[in-house]
Amino acid sequence: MKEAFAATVKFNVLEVYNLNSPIFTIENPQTGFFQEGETNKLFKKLAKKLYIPTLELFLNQEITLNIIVSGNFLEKAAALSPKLINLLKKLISQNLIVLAADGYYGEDYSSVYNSSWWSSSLVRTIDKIKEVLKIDTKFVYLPQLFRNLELERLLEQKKIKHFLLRQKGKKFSKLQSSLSELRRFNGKTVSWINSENDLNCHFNFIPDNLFFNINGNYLQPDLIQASKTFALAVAFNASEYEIKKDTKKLRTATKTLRINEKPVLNLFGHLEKATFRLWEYALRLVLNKYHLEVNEKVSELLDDCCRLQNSDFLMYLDKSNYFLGKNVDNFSSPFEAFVFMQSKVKQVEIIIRNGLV
Amino acid sequence: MSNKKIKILLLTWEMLPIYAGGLGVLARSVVEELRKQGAEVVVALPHIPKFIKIDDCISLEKAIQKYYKQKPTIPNLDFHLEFFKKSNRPAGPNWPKLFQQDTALKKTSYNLYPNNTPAITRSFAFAVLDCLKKNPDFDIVIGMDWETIPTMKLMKETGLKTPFAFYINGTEYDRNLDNNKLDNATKTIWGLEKKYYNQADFLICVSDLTKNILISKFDVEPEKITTVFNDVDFKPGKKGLQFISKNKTILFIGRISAQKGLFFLIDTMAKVVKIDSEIKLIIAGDGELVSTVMEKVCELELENNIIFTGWLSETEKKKIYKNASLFLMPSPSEPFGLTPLESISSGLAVISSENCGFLGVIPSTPTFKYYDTEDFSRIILYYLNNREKLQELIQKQSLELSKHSWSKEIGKILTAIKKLKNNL
Repeated sequence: MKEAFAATVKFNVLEVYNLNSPIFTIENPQTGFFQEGETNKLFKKLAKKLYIPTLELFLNQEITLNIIVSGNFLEKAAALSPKLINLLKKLISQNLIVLAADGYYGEDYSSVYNSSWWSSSLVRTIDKIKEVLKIDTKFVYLPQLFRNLELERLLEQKKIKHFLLRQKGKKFSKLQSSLSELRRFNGKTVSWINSENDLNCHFNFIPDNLFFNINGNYLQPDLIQASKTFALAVAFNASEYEIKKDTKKLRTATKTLRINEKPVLNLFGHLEKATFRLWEYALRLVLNKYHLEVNEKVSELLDDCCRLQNSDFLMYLDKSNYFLGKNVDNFSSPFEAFVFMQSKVKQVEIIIRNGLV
Repeated sequence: MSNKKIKILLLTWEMLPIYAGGLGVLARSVVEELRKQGAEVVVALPHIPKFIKIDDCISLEKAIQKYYKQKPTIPNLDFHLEFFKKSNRPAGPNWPKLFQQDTALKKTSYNLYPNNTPAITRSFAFAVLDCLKKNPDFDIVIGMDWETIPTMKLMKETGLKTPFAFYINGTEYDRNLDNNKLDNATKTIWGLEKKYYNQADFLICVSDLTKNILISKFDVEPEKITTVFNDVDFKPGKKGLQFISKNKTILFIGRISAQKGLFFLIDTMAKVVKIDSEIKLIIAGDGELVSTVMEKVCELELENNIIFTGWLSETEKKKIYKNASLFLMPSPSEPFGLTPLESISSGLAVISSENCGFLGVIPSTPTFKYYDTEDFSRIILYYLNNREKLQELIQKQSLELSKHSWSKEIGKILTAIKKLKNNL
């Protein structure tokens, strides 16, 4: 079994939202959340100017790294950019990358409090990887450590034992641990893991300086230039780590890892925190409905709701991103992004409360 | 004075459909009523956007551009400001982008008060002077707010005999009561108002509150001031937005600026929500403080109780009045406030801070002291939980509004002009 590398790049589809005034949204709650056509256009543009040049550099320079992909990303790439798929296949065949599955719509905040959605979303991505790249997924990216149940489900269904996680700091570390050895944050064990369903897992903790989101370059004024800078920065950090790793001992995390059971929001600003609360509120409304009656429309709404909660949206709430002076396709200020999300959550509320699904 | 028509030249930066706020609405109402009462009114604006059709106003833009290049000075005018300082505030929502379904709004995006507005006011004065030289038979020039002060000064300095009156819709004092750091532009305009308002032949103001401010803060002689209580030509809508529940919704409509008391309102809302978390406040409007206000809402975790709609069209505004149970006026100082009258016309009761000019017309309005969040929140909760009292309140307010006569109010302007002419 191949081991995970330290440097990691995350790929996901950047959505183009359906921007309407809050009043229009309230009056027309059944208007779609996304502009599919524009999203495809943007994907093509990013594939050409950002994704392909970056992967080509990795291939040419034989840079080894982990690549996290969402199912949606692979689906779009298969439909809109065969060159991108070929590049990924080449990188895999030359053993230059370890592929890890993300949620179907990428890193999704709803995963924090909707474990069943998240695990099914990961399974969708794993299936898509098999369909498009013809390989079995061995690694999965976790937005955070869970209280075991989701891991267990995945392990059962897809025989996944290897996980990538992001962590603060600059040290890459690994942990091999059984589920029963994981601890809640208060130090207590998770009581429902018994010897029968206890399993060994491998956790790879990727530090911030080795974790890259390629879509973060989207706000840069010159995409081609940004792709070069980005690819070189990844290549530099990845190579530097690979050169030094033999000279220093790999840090092994303590065996009894403590799990944060609530998202840690201290590092976020007011707009981000408010957006998380709005997301949580919307998702609760939809899940309530979902558990009462499962129909296609509710499932679609849940799907949209989770898709809205993508971590890529957070870059629109970061004021520093707008100092680059570029009017992006979606928003031109964090406040505009916030109002958009607030009105979308209102839209979800109206749909649920008025029985429109 | 003979029976010939009174001829008025009205100078304004806004006039419906060209407007950024209440001034445009007021100017339109005043002009229409003056014309109805037989006066001949010529309205001069510094700029008319090309895509707006307006037949009854003249644009002085060409002349302004000429004088803007020449930069002539107005003798003895103590006004050295050329540009407003660029705001350091973070950019707010780009509403036209969010309103992209509404292509009409996209087209109507314009800025009536660009950064070089102070310099434009001087060029405007020379353009008006040209106009007066060509048409010397105006009985009076009426200038709306501080932007017309240089015009008044130029007219006086050049010895023109046409009298000049200010129509005060708001002062820099009102606009900055909630602002603890006055910038240079504010200080300069405030100083300008203090020095020159009293030099006009007379002043019209929109409420007794403004009259008192003009006397106490701007040293205007009381006998020069005529209060003309505002009114608004507003036909209420029939239906609200379909999916908003009226019961626990309260409403603020206005410019999101320091003058409107938004931070006071949000602090109050935090108290209200602690008691009843289902109460929702709609904040409708745009303004320079929108980003700061939004941050504050998020900081206080009120994002689910306070909804921002941005700038509303007339149709949307009429609808939203029908979607609330209570209208709020939290201003630290509001010269008049047209939205409460629109609200009452729409059947929506109003509560207000003590410092709002419209209280002269609707005295039964429950009031609270600005800064008293306890009292403000108590009144909100009281009316939302006492439907009968709320009903009584709107009935009283509607009755008072029905007694308010705009024609009588505008008649006061014509009387003042006649009196002035007789004394000349």
